[in-house]
Order: sequence, then structure tokens, then C-alpha cells
Amino acid sequence: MDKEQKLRALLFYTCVISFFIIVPSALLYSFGYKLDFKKFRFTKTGLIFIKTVPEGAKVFLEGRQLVGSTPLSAEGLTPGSYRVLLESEGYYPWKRAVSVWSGETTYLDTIVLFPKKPFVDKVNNVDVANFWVFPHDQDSGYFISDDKKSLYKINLASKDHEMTLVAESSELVPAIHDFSFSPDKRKILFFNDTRLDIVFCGTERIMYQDIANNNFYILADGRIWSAFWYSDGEHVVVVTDKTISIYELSSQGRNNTISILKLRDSRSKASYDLDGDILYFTDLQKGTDDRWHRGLYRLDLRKRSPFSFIKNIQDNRT
Amino acid sequence: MQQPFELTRRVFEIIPAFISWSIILVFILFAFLLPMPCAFFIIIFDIFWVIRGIYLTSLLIMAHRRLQKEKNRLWFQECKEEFNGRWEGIYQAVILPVYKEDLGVLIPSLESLHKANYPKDRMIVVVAFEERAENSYMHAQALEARYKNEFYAFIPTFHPDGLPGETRTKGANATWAAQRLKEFLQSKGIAFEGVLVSCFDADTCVEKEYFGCLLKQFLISDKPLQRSYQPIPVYNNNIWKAPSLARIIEITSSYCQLIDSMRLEKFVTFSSHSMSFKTLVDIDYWPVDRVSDDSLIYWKAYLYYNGDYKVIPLYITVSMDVACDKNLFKTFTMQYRQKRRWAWGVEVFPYVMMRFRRDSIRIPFREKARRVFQILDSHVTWAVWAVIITVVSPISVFMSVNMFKESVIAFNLPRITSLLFQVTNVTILLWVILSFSLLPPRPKDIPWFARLRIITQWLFIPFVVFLVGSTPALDAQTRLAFGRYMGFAYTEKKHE
Repeated sequence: MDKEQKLRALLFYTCVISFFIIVPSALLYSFGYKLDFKKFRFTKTGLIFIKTVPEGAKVFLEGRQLVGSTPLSAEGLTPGSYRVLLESEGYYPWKRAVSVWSGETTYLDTIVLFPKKPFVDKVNNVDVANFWVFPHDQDSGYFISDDKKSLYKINLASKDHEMTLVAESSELVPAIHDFSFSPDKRKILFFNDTRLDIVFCGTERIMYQDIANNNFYILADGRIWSAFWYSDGEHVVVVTDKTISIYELSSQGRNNTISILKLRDSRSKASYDLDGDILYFTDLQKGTDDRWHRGLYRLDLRKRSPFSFIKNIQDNRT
Repeated sequence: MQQPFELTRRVFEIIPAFISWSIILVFILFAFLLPMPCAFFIIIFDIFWVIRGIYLTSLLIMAHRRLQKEKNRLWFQECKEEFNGRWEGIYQAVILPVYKEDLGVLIPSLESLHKANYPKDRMIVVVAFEERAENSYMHAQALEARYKNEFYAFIPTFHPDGLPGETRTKGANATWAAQRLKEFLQSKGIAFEGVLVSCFDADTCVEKEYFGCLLKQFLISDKPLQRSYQPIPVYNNNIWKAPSLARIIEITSSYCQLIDSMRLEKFVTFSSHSMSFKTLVDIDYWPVDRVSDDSLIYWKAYLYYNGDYKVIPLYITVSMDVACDKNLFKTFTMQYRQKRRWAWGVEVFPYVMMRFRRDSIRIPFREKARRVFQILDSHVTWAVWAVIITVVSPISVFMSVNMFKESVIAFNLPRITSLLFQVTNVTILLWVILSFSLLPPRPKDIPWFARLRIITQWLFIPFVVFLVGSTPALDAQTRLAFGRYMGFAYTEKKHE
């Protein structure tokens, strides 16, 4: 056998031996086994995985600091309860007693460390009566001035937070209950008890040439509880104490207003799924016990079948 | 290739695919149904592969070192000095089976033979054309006019189509050419024992000292007739112009050959190889009805000599073309088909098994078992390793993490596989470094930054492993299991 083949044989047997050493070690480690040198036997351990926001916190386990910072895992822990303390400069400390079970991982991965000095940022210089920030448009905020004469849009993403006037005094009704932007963010609706106002932003009103100003309003047939944009941004769904109605914007509430359903519930609660154009609402229904019960309904505004009943109290009882 | 039905042979044809698919399916089933035990086996498998990777990379380094060490040896000069005229009686015959290759491919190969440091009056070149191929006679005339007087003999042969018992394979053409060579040698009174025959692909370019190296190994061998001589194939002819994907596949193919050259006990002939012409005649030439003629010729000789037959590695390269086409998809398809043809070498298993059963074969059972295990191990490993590493292992990690999120193993499995992956990256880094020394000099029309591509191409390695790591082998084994026998798929080679 030449030198190369001898070397190869040596390498081969080294690899074989390494395999038989590494495999059991890796398997024991993977499944959480640790050699207890005192009892000279393997014990099944658990671990704690710690992740914080922000990262980089020091970890103390039973008062002893662990090497490294979050995110980290404390491994080879015998089952039991452990005191965990997290410290990060400039943040409130976090502590808790944590249970560890054999062969299991205890996840502490939802920890938020809050700063001792809060980061407060003033975003405008105008007195505010009310404001709205929508989840789908977190870069913008809308607020009504304290005198309730102006509606502003404010850029939350930029440093200087520039403001844009969206609607002025004559256009705003008193005692606004709610306020909503159309899905295309070009129109705003807001309403008080009986009046629903639509304001067109920017050049949108050009498409509606018969609208004299950039706004119009609709007087509802009863007290308005909720108003929602239909997904096309060209219709509004209004829930009053009497009806559920749909208004076509291009008709400015004069034509093509559909009173789609009469309500018995004068305080109907409503929620709107813009993705599916489905209105969920409550209404009263007479039960077999001859009493009125409030049930939850679903009105699918895209399908032919106008609405379906989800569940009422009577069903629940039976 | 339609073979008569024979139950035993069919069983042997099914066995490799059965084992490969069983391993893959059991792993996949375990991954979904029993993720915890699967995680157990995945860890073992991954460690096995990392250690095997380190071992094989070490062999690669050893073989590479040897190749570099022997690169500048003047083999022929050594033969002249050491063997004192013994070499003079040795003729070098080269058979170049040709199908559709044009003169642009053939002339560089023949030029490399012509430039070889070996007396031309001891060289016989047989260009084996297929009669059915267009332009065969025209090409033969052109080459004959150019090389007729350059060698001891330049013999163009034309293999007729559809001879009884034959299929359209390279082996059938090479055998026809070898038979014509036999007639020629007999007519000249040259003893077969004194002829070394090399069967090269049409695009094979030899190094200047190839025949000297071959001659020396032949002369120092204790049983020269019972040896095949295997050079290291590299795919350098067009490597600077080939797409990265194709380049990386071919470089890894060369690496496999280098690694195998260190494992003498399982080393078999592959692609271009050389042997004694007497042995070739004795064992009745290359198989004429099989695709894997280059490896089957070894097994034929091995069985003929009852196991006393070896392959001697020649640490000298022969260069071939990287199989590639104009666009990436066509290149990939071409590469896939070529690798599937190589993987069709699994047909060796039923071939060997059927012959091992014969009473006339006098090979000890232990030796038979060892060789059978080696064949199965290489083909099954080829078919399953990439699938398990790139598909089953991630499934197992995903399932464990999601089904047993609270367990320690679910937490540790991704960390361990990731660590093992990082170790693998170190071996890949070594491959990258080694690949530079196998490269031919950069042609003048290739920009300097092409060298950067030689590094960045290795980023394709996960895709290469996923796409052509195991699938061609699985494909070939499955075809064999279903009796869908492959014909010889010609890999088109063209030079601009």
C-alpha cells in the first residue's frame, strides 16, 4: 500500500470514529440530554429561549449573568422554576419566574422592553378636537381643529409633519360622530346625527362636473349610526335607526338611493368588511318565546341574496 | 434496447430504484407523520453527509495534489530512460467514435494526438464514423487528406446501421472500429499484446505527455493486460465560454473522477480510457447493445479475469467540451440528459448480478458482495442524497418546528442543520480554490472579470444540487425499473 492509500485509510477510519462520536453527542444534545457528572447519568433537560424588543438585553438566570445578550437560549436546564431578569441600559428591567420542563423549550419571545425616557414627538401645532389614524394608511393622520372649523391631513412619516387643509368651516357639520376615507383615499365622509357629508379631495371633483363645490351632503331618513364606503369608493352604505341604505355619490343622494332593508333595531350596531362588501349588523327578531331578541346578520352586498342570518339568541338557547 | 423478458434480470433492474425510492418515501412519510423520529434520522444523515463531504474533499485535495505534482513530468522521456527500448514495441492505438461531430470538433482532438510526445510511427488513429450520419464520408476524406501520413496509420471506419444484436450506441461504433483495427494489426503482423488502445470521445484533447504516462503505467504494471488506465477528464475545451450552470456541473464531475481515482478498490473506467488491445479482443470488445459501454468494459474484463482486473488512475488530464447550448434552459436540458445517461450506468447492477450467478465465474462470495455493495451504494447515494438534503431535511425541520414547537428538538434541529450547512460551506470554499488550478489559461477574447464568474458561479451550487444532484439518477433508475430502456442520447458538441 503506498503512502497515499495509507493516508486515505487513516482518514477513512478517523471519519468513521468521528461519526460514531459526533452522532450520539449531537443526538443527545438535540433532544436535550445532558450528562450529570455527579450521578454519572444522562438527564433530560429543557431550555429557555429569550427574545426581546429591542435586542441586546443582558440575561440573568437565578442571579447569574449568562454569556451573550438577547436573543439567546439558556440550555441544559434541569426541570424547575428559574428567576429570569433582563436588563438593558435605558429600559425598564423585566423579570419573571419561568418554569422549565424536561425536553421542552420555554419561549420568552414576546418581551418588549419599554424605555425609561419615553420618545414623545409633537406632530402638529394646531389645537385638536378629534383625530383619526387609519391602519391602512399609517403615514397620514387626520384631525379636526379645536374650533371644529377645519379638517387637516398631516404627514406622520416626514420629520416636519407638514399639514394640508382638507375641508374648511362651512363644509363641516357640528358634532361629527365618525369620519372615514374612501378606499381610494380621494374622498372623505363624516356624519353627525342626521347628516352625511362627502368631501372630495384634490382633483377628484372634476369627475363630478355637476357638483358646484368640492362637497355635498345627504340628509338621512333617520338617525345615522354608521356609514361605510362601498369598495368601489363610489357608493356609501348608511345604517340609521330605521334602514340600511346605499347612496350613489354621482347622484349626490338625489337619485339611485336604495333603502335595502328596514330595521327594527333603533340602535343597530354595524361593522363592514370592505374586502368582501359584507355588512354585519344587529337587528331585532321575535323569538318563539314571543319576546324580541337582538341577532347578528350578514348582508352580502355583492351577491343576489341580500342578507343571511348568522345566529340568534334563540338558536343559541336551542 | 428491447431485451427478452427474464424475471431474475427484471428483479435486479428494479432493486436500485426500489431502494432509492423506499429511502426517499420513508423519509418523507416520517417527516409528515412522525417528525420526531424523522428529526432523529435527519440529524444522523446530515452528520453522515458532512463527514463524508469532509472525507471526499480530503481525497479530492490528495488527488489534486498528485495531479499538480505529476503535471510537468516528462513521462515519455522517463520511459525511454528506464525501459531501455522495451517501449519501442508498444503501439498506441486511438479510437475516436464520431457521430454528428463536425470537423471543428474533430480537428482539435486529432491535433492534440499529433502534438503528443510519442513517436508518430507508433501511433494508429482510428476515426470511427457512423455510416448513417450525414457528411461522414466527406469528413473522413478531409481528415484523411490531412492526417494520412502523420501517423503509422490513419484509419477511418464506417459503422453500418442496424447490425444484428446492436443498438445505436457509442459502444457498437467503437467495437466495429476495434474489429477493423484488429484486421489491420493482423495484416501488419503486430501482436495485440504490444498495442495499447485508447477509446476517446470525439471532443477529447489529450495532453502532450498522455501516451508517455500511459506507457509508463503499462510498463511498470505487474499485470499490464489486466489493467485499464483511466485519465482524469476535465471539461476545459470551452469552459471560459460555457454558462456558469454548465461549468459548475462539469467541474463537480471532474472532482468526482479525481475523488474516485483515490478509491482504487472501487475505481472503474469512465468516458475516455485506455487498455491493452489483447484484453479488448479477449473480452469481445465493448458491449454493442448498452449505453454505459465505458463502465461495462471494465466489468466485462473484471468478470473475464475472475475479479483480477483493476483500473489504474493516470494523473494526467484529458480535456473535453462542457455540454452547453445557446440559452440556459437548453443548456440545463442538455446537462440533465447527459447526467441521466451517466446515471444509466446503473444498468451495470443487473449486468453484474446476472453474471455473478454463473458457475463459471470464480470470484469469492465476499468479493462479489463487496462489489455489489459498491455499485448499489454509489447509485443509490447518487439518487437520494440531494433529495434528502434539499427537500426532506427542510420538510422535517418545518414539521418539527411547527408540530413540536415547545420541544427542545424542534428548537435545536434548525440550529444543528444550519451549523452542518456552514461546515459544508467550508468544503465548498475549498472546491472553489481548487477549481482555479484546473482551469486552462484565459483566452485573449475573454475579459479579466470572467475569473470573478468562476467564483460567483458557486452560488449556483444549491440549485445545481437540487436540480441535477439526484434527479437524473432517480430518473434513470426508475426507467430501468419500469423496463423503459434508454438508447444512447447524443450530446451535441460544436466549436465556433
